[in-house]
Amino acid sequence: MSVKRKENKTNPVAKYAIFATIFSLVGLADSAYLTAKHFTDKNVPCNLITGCEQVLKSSYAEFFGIPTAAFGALAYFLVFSLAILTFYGNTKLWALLGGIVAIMSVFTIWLIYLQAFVIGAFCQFCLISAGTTFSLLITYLLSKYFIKPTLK
Amino acid sequence: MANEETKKETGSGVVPFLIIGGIFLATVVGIWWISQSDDSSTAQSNTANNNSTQPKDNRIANYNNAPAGATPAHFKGSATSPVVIEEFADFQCPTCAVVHPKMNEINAKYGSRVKFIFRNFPLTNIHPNAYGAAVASEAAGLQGKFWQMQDILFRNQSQWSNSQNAKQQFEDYAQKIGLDVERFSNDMLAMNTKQRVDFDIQRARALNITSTPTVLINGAPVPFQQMEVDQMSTLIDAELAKFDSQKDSQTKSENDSSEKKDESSDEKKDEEKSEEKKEDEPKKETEEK
Repeated sequence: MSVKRKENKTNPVAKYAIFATIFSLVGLADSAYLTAKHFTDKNVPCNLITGCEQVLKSSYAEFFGIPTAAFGALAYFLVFSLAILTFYGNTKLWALLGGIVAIMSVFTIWLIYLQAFVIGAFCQFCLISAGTTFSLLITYLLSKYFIKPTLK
Repeated sequence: MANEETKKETGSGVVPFLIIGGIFLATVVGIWWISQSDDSSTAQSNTANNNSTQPKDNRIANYNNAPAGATPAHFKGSATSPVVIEEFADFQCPTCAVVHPKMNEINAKYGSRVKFIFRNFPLTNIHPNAYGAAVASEAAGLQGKFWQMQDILFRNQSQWSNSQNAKQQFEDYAQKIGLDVERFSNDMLAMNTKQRVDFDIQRARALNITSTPTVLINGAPVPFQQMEVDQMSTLIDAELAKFDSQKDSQTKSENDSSEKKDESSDEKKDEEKSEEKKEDEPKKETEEK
């Protein structure tokens, strides 16, 4: 405990890292669930309320034979790892986290575009993932905005 | 300060990696667990239904009171069969397209022993071209080629599903299956074709159907996992057997009065059965109206 406290004093990113940890965990759980579903549910009935089956079964559900959700899971896992390491003092990794989150955000925007305009159906679990990615981005941007001077 | 920092780094060096490793494990186990539980739930529901070969209780409560849907309905097989298979499907639903050939197999297998009704249930809020496709099938139906259109729509689903101009594709299909295209495109705009689709939708809603494909065997919904040829066959056989046994008991009581008039073949029984049903059916339909 005492170690943590000291770290928090010298590690201004720590509280942002905690948020990043939480968001990335939510994203990881979500995309892991989607990955599992991708492998198990070969066919899902079309439901009045959700359009998931269509998004998950569209040609964009896989890239190079790997489910899109698995890429997401990997990315969230990376972000989670970096956030944890940042929390424990490796503040340099925070910038790397920012880079990955930026790439994820671009990818997410593209996926939302696909759902809205190309596939014409939204998938709620994919939207959760979009939410966590943007939360991560906002967290990172806030950290940049508020602690830039102290980091330098 | 420097000492402290190195202490921190070494002290906390293991912890984050332990956490990361733990989460990694949890993720892998989670994915494995979800896929396992999915499999087992499928297996469970399968065995559950195998145990109860009479799925009487599964029957939708208001099956007989719900609006009749488009009449006359598009059906294959015998109009008078005691076993009615009713499928509610959406032409734009990928899973419906997957189940489509299975239903065809069922039809080929049972032929006139069953009555197979196809109902349009386009999920318009998630499938923008589904309603148009349903109307196209009805327009083709006016020229006697409902089933050909139904087939071509399912087979080429990926072509028109996301199309901005699906109507053009429907017209191409109409030409392919030999329809009068001009009449077809006029019929697609006509009220009566849309009305038929709307009647089917009304029926689906009244039966509380929320997903497609939904297959009812004499009013009992087939669980999605069982929409395989062999499993549906089991259910259909059970229904057929039920009516056979009813028939048997009826003939037994008849035999009491007119002794041993009946050593006849199964075929004859079937004929009798279907004749009986013939009388029942129109009554039912008028009641439903």
